[in-house]
Amino acid sequence: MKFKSLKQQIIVIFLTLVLGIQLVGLIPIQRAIDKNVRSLVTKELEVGEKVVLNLLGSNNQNIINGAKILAADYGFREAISSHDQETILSALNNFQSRIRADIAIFQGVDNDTIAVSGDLTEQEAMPVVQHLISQYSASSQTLQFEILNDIPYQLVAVPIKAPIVIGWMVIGFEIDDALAQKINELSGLQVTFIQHVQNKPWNTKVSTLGTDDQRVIQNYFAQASKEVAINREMDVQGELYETKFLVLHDDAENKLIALLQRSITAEISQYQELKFSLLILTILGLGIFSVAIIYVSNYIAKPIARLSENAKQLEFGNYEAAITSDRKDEIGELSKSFNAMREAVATREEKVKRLAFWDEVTGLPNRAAFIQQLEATITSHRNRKLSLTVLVLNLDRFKEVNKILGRDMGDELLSQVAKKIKAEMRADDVVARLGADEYGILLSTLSEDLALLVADKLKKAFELPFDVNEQKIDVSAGFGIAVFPQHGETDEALLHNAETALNVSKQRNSGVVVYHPQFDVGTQENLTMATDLKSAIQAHQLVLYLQPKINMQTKQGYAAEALVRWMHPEKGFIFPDQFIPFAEQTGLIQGITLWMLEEACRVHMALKQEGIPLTIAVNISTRDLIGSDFPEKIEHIFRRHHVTFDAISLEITESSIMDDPVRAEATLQRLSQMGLKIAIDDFGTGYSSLGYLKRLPVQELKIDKSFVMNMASNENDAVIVRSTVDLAHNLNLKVVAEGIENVEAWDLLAKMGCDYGQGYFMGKPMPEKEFQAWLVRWESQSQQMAAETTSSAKKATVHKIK
Amino acid sequence: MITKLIKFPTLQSLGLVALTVSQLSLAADVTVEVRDSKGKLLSDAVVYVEGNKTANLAANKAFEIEQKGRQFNPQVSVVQAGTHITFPNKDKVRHHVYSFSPAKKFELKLYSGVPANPVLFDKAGTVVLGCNIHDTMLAYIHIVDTPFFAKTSASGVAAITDLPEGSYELKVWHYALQTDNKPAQQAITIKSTNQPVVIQLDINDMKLM
Repeated sequence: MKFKSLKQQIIVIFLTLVLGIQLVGLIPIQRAIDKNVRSLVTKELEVGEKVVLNLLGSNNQNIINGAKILAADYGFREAISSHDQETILSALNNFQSRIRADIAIFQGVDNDTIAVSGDLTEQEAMPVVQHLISQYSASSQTLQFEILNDIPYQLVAVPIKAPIVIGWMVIGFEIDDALAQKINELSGLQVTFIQHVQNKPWNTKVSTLGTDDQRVIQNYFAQASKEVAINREMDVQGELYETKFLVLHDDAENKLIALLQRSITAEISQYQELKFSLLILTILGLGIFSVAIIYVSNYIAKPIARLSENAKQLEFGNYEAAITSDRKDEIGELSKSFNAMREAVATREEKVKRLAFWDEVTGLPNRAAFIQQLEATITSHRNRKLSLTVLVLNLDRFKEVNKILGRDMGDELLSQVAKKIKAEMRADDVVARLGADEYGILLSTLSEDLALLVADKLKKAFELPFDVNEQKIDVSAGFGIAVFPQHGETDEALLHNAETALNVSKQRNSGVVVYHPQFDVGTQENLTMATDLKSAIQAHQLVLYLQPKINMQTKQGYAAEALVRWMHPEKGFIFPDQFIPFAEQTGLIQGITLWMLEEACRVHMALKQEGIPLTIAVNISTRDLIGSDFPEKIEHIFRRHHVTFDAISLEITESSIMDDPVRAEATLQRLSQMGLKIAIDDFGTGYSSLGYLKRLPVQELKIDKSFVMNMASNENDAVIVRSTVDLAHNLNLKVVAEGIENVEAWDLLAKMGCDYGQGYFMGKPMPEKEFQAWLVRWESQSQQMAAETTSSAKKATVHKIK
Repeated sequence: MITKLIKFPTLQSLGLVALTVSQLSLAADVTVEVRDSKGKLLSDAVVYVEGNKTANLAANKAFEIEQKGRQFNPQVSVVQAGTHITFPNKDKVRHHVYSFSPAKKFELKLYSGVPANPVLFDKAGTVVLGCNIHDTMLAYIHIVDTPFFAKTSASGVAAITDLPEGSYELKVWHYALQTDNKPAQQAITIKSTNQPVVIQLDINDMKLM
């Protein structure tokens, strides 16, 4: 059953319960009454039977006593002895009328004399008397009944002694209504004498019941078999009688039965009043209980309903209405808790609202607020056909600033940047912090051209260093612009496209970039590339290239850097800068690194067999360094290829170490302990301090090619290279110069004491097969170099690709 | 049933009956042992013989049945017809002795001490005596037409003495006989010496006093 309310539930459950209990209670009462009545009736019947037997017995005794008087009469006995029939008969008559008997019979002991007084012939009397005499016992008087001429009699036989038995006297009383009435009066039972004479039907001669009832009983006996003498309940015209059968006489021909009956129905009806009272009490109790339950359920359910109403208000955001209750019980407590909850929720919502739309570091609106504002502006501008511009900017290398200078400084920088942007903008332009180091500016009603101007102005502003806690920090930024409506109709699209433009700017390092639909295609390509790259390793689409590394002092080339090329089945040759950054982002780089290690080992062994002992350097990424099982993997690969640890060296960029310096250091320590040589790649582009590098188990520094390539033209770069070489040597590190493209650079570096060199001047990256041929060429070249200290260098205009 | 139990010829042929007769005096004694059908010895059985020689013998003996302790004493008597019997009352209470028996009907209305006249019993038969005041008082008088009679003692034996030799009818009566007061009888021959006679009677135990 489903209830609509708690009140209903309480009322229905409790009323059902009470009603159930009452009903269940009535059943045993009904049963007890029934049982009680039956046992009472049975008991009454037993008592009644005794009363009846007693009455008949005392009747018997009275007759006997009367008969004895006559039997002892001298004159009567004299008359008997003298066979004086007349006198005998008159004495009998006299006696019969005196004791109001219906029958008086005398029979002499020799069967010679018989005298009958009453409505009976001698022939009829004889057998009865004979029977009674044979049944006679002086010590115990059994009740004797006979049916004579269809009339039932109670009979008594008394011997006449003089002083031996000289004859018998038999006295009979008709069983009549008077007897039945007397029995009824004394015992309270209904009595019916029913008889069956020879083949005549059962007949009720005497009964306290009505004639209709008697007929029912007669029918009952008529239908029943001979086995009627059992106590049972008898239904007489709807009235149920507990019935006792008293067989008074039973011989072959005649039967006389007394039915003693007590009405169960009448007895039960006496309890009707009790039952009625109980019913009244039940109804009354139920009524009182109903009132009480309704009151209680109201008392409980109403405040709950009110609380529910209050809660609904809270659901709709209405926290104003206070919830009060003057009750002291649980419901009062609940109300108080509700109220406290309402206040707490209101306070928290306030805070959440603030947090949701406000950035605490910079005091600017956050991304959510920015989007909300953008949405609102777009809606209003769309109708008015106005344009607007979203400008997003992202600080370069903010991560490093945070790591090196600490988070507080980072936050301060972010705050300074915010201030600077705000200062450059108009008052009604919305400036927000979109992410960690990303800012968004909503330039309302500005066209693309004007927006570009604003961006340029901002870019210029960034050229001045920021003053953070009395430290000057140079920060550059990338800028992305998307204009409504041409670059996006919705806030989402607009912001997304501005950020795409920003990404492009960051990739190209090209300052301000305006969104162009082409940018998105690249992104799509990236997705396909991810799938392709996954299968590239298994499909043997990756190829290992070697770029020789030359000892600048001995001019010998027995080291090389391993570089990867991708032979895409459809797109053809793909350079690493098109997929390596992507692989690093997606984690595919780990598979590539392992493949590289495998391949490097294989190539090493192959060349070793050719008699070329080549140490191959393999680049590893941040993700490799973070993976704790990386050293085990390397060891496994080496063992499989039977390669010694000095055959392969590792190169790692400065910035990838800085991503997670602690773990990177731990991994590097383990790799170094295994005997692997480790080089820092692209040295000079990151923020790593030499002090930190000193702690690392590093043997080589590779100076970034940007310094080497500009060395000839830029005096600063030359100074950087020179001091780096010196510093490295002071720290016992070998120095490798990348990007040597001409003999001048070679010479200069050699003079500076640089240990190794790498670049197009000596050799481009090449497949393994070409390496031997190159080696031969190089040896002749190097001899030639030795011959002419200055040489006309080859022009290497090809962009070096790694 | 009763007649079947008393099979006198059979008893005789089996030699169960013996008479003892005195040859010297021409008179003999005969002993009769009376038992019931179960073989139990019966007391108070009346034994007598009748024959041609006994018919006209006069009886002049007096007899007495006293009432003492509200009982007749003796309770069973045998007398020859013609005997006068007195009924002395030895109790303090008075008695009313009567008989409705056909052999002798009489009544001695309430009296104490010895009644003035004895009662003459002149007819053979059985007389049942009662007291009209005390219902429990009961006595039997068996009156026979012969002087040769006796009553069995407590040991169930009776002896008839001085009986002339000759043939007789031996009759045995007991008040508790099943048959309606009819004595059992059998023919006997009295010699000088006689074997004891054993008589079995069919007794109604209910009637025993």
